[in-house]
Formats: sequence, structure tokens, C-alpha cells
Amino acid sequence: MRYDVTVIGGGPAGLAAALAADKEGAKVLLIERERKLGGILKQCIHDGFGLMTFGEKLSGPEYSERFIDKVLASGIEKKLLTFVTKIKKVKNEFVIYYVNREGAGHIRTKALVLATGCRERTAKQVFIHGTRPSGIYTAGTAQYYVNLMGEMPVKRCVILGSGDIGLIMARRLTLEGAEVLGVYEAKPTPSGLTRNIHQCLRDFDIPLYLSHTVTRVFGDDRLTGVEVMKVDENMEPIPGTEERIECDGLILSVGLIPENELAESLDVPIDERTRGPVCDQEYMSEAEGIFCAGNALHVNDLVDYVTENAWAAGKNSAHYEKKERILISVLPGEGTSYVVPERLNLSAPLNNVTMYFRSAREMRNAKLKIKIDGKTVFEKKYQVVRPPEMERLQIDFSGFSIRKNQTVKIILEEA
Amino acid sequence: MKEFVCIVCPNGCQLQVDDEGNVAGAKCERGVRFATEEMTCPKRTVCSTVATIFEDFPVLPVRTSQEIPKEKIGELMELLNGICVKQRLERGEVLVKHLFGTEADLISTSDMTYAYFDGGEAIKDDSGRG
Repeated sequence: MRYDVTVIGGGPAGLAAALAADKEGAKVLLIERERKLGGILKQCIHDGFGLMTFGEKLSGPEYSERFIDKVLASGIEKKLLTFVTKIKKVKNEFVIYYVNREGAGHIRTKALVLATGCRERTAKQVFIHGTRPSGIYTAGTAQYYVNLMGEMPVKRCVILGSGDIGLIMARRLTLEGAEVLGVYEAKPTPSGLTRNIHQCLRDFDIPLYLSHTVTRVFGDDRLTGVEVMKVDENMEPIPGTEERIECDGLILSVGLIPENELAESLDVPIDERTRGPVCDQEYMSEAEGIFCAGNALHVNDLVDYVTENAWAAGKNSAHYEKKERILISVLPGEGTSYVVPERLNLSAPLNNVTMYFRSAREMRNAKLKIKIDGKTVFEKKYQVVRPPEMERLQIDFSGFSIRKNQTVKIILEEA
Repeated sequence: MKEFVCIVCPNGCQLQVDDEGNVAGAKCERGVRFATEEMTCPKRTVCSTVATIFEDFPVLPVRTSQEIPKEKIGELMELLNGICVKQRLERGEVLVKHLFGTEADLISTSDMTYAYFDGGEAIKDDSGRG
């Protein structure tokens, strides 16, 4: 079979990308490895999704099902319970090899949208010492148990990391009768959104310990306790501050990493800051014909941004034709930790470029500057910028007469 | 003077309420309303799950259609523990009307009737998440 666009991943990014490509008249295939569409939103039963897209506060399933309904009513072909094993570029198209219950197969596609989402960091990646008992979960796994299976994974637990899923699980486990002894965060500031600190922790009197981390776990078959320590400004544990806490669960909310195994297998260049593919303003990676959307591109804090970016990626993928691109770099400068897109294609429209960026640290009365080869072409003031809260900006670059080999830099300064 | 962080939207405005009830720091009207309510009768939307009899859909996500008084959250969780869904509901269907005499209903937030997988026959979910 031949398709114009194949979207890999049936979560919010994949759903939006497939719908957008279909709307442009492309023949679209959507591949999902699970048996249901919706991705991680299936288990995000809390509300707060869709304020930008629908002007309503929806739960995760409500948000994703609005898109699933549209996909089901469209002509988009779907392959569920289908796992992509390999992608090869052959001349001007891609051959996608997959396995599913019917066996192994392959299809051909002109353009590819990678909407593979992200993964959680695990205990291994945060270097906790000790035994390997059960009872240590990532926040997403705990969420899967509670919200999809209806099982309680812990009775009395400690949460390491103040990412949003960790905060949301602190509230969820408390509501379901577990005791959440505290959220421990190695950094001096919380990683999650401020509103989640309030509605998930303060509302339920769950303590938040900043500049603290879990250093050891105890227990043979099942976790019996953890050791926590204070950390210094370099996040190194301070000797003498050890404290042992009896608990049967440790929940990790220590960050998300874009999932790009397929992109890497295709030698798609990856941005070391976002851990997602380097892309231009049309969300095409540096590899021709490969587009990227959602959390596979960079970890978003709001699904509304995922939908926005994926919709654009899907739309552009439908119109993909091999053409020469003139790519210039967009770099995060002082005060910013990353910027998406990382490239501008001077041969594509520049008049309505959406930029997503994060500040490197909390700043009040911040001033954003966009510089082209050192010359400031745009300024904007921000009351406050915080690393957990992504900023979005729409810029008309067409009037700046940008030339080949120039560099765009985005800077945040405290006023 | 009391300080809050607005939880209405992701902006998370820092709100200050003085002794006369005047609200400062809100970027929109919803923030002013939130701070006023937070001082008098704090309310929250509650999201949770209820049990079902279906193997492929063991719990159904639900939420309150509107905010309910914060002090009723414990009572609501007890109510939810007693519910078991015996027929496949669609998204938005009401499970309990007028929770605690308020305007808020308990509604389903997921559609259990999707049959797009497996040609219409719902099967037990053994695919895991991997």
C-alpha cells in the first residue's frame, strides 16, 4: 500500500497530525501500537486539558476522544496493535515495516510524521543506591495502575521529583486513600506548574521538600523504606542529613525524554537540548520528508500546544514535495534553555512562525530579545518566566530580510 | 491580606486579596471570581474513577460537571467507592444528578462504547502499555 502521509503514534499529536493531513486531501495512515487510540491521555483522568483548544477544562480522555471521534468519522486508515520495526528510505519514499496480529508487513509513504511521544526517566537514570525491591514506580506507571486498572500500587509512599505527573499522582493517591508522606525535589524550585503545587499538594497538606533527594532504597522483595538527604547548590547530598522514612512505595517524577528511537534509526539529527529532532518552522526535521510532532519533538506542558504543533506538522506533511531548503539556525542564547523550531527554512513562509521556548531560570520583569547576527529585531516583556512553564510566541520573520548563513538568537534578560 | 495562586488556567496568576475583599494580580475576571470564592467557599472540580463490571474497562473515569465545595471531597470519594457501572456508558453521561444538592452532576469522561478496535468485539486488554 502507498500513502501520502503515515503518522506513527495515536496519541494527541498523532491524532491531530492525521486529521490535519486528511483535511488537506492526503491519503493518511495512522499507526498505533496499543489497541486504543488516545496515547497517554487515556490515563490522565484529571482535568485542565483543552482550555486553549476548546475553552473548556476537560479530562484527558474527554480531550483525546473529541479527536478520536473525528478520526473515526474520517477516511483515515488505522492500524492498531501495530508496532513499527524498521523504516527505510528508498528513493523518494519511505518503506515502513511493522508487525501486528496478522503478521509482518510493510507499506510505502511519501511523508512521515513521528508522533511517538516521550518516556519517563527511571530510577536507573537518577542513581539511587540499594536493593531492587518492588514498589518503585514511575509516576506514569502508578497512574496506569490506578486510573486504568483500578489497582492501588502503594499504601504509604514518597514521591521523588516535583514534575506535574508526580504532583497529580500525589493528589490522586491521597484521594484513593494512600498516605503520601511528601514530595522531594532536588532542585531549589519545583519542576511542575505552580497551579499544581497548589491544587495537588497544598489542598491536601502534602509537604514539598525542596533541595532534598532520595539517596537509598531499602527492602528485599518489597520496598520497606527510603533514605532522603538534603542537597547543596550543586545537588550533591550533604553528609549528616540522612533521614530514613518507612514506606512501601517510591514514585518517581523525575522528567520526561522525547522518544526518538525511530528518528535515530533514520539518522535524523537530534537537538541535545530538547532531545527531539531538529526541525524547521514547518516541523520538518533535517531529514527530508520526516516531520515531527508533540512530545517527540520537545516535552510540552500543555496538550493544547501539542495539538497546535501537530496540526501544523500534519498539514505541512500533506503538502510535502522535495524542494531545496535554505536552513538557518535559531539558537537559544543567554537566559533560555531551548527553542523550537531550531531552524528557519528561508524558502518557506516566514510570516507566521510559532516559537516555543523555555527560560533557563525564573526571572521577573524579563525581556525577550530576538537577534539576527547580533542585531535586535524584536523585543517583548514578560512579568515572569519560569523553566517549567513553556512560552509561545508568534513572530513575523518576513520583514527582517534574513539572508543565508545568518543566525537567529533568542535571549532572555532580567530588566 | 491573603495570597493565592489561581488554579483556573495554566497562567497561575499570583492573587492578593485585601481585608475588604478586593482582588489584585488577576489577569482575567475568572481569577477575581476564584479568589473571592477561595475566601468564602473554596470549590474544586473532582476527577476520579468508578468501578465497572467490564473486564476490558475495569474503571471508568468520572468528574464533577462543575466545582463542588472543597469540604465535600471526602464525602464524594466515599460515594464513588460505592458505585459499580453495569452498562457501557458514553462520554458525558450523568451517573449521579445534583451532587449534595448542588448544580454539579457526576459525569462519565470516557466513552466505553467505542468498538473501533477488533472489528466491534471488545476483548480483554492484555496488551499492557509497553
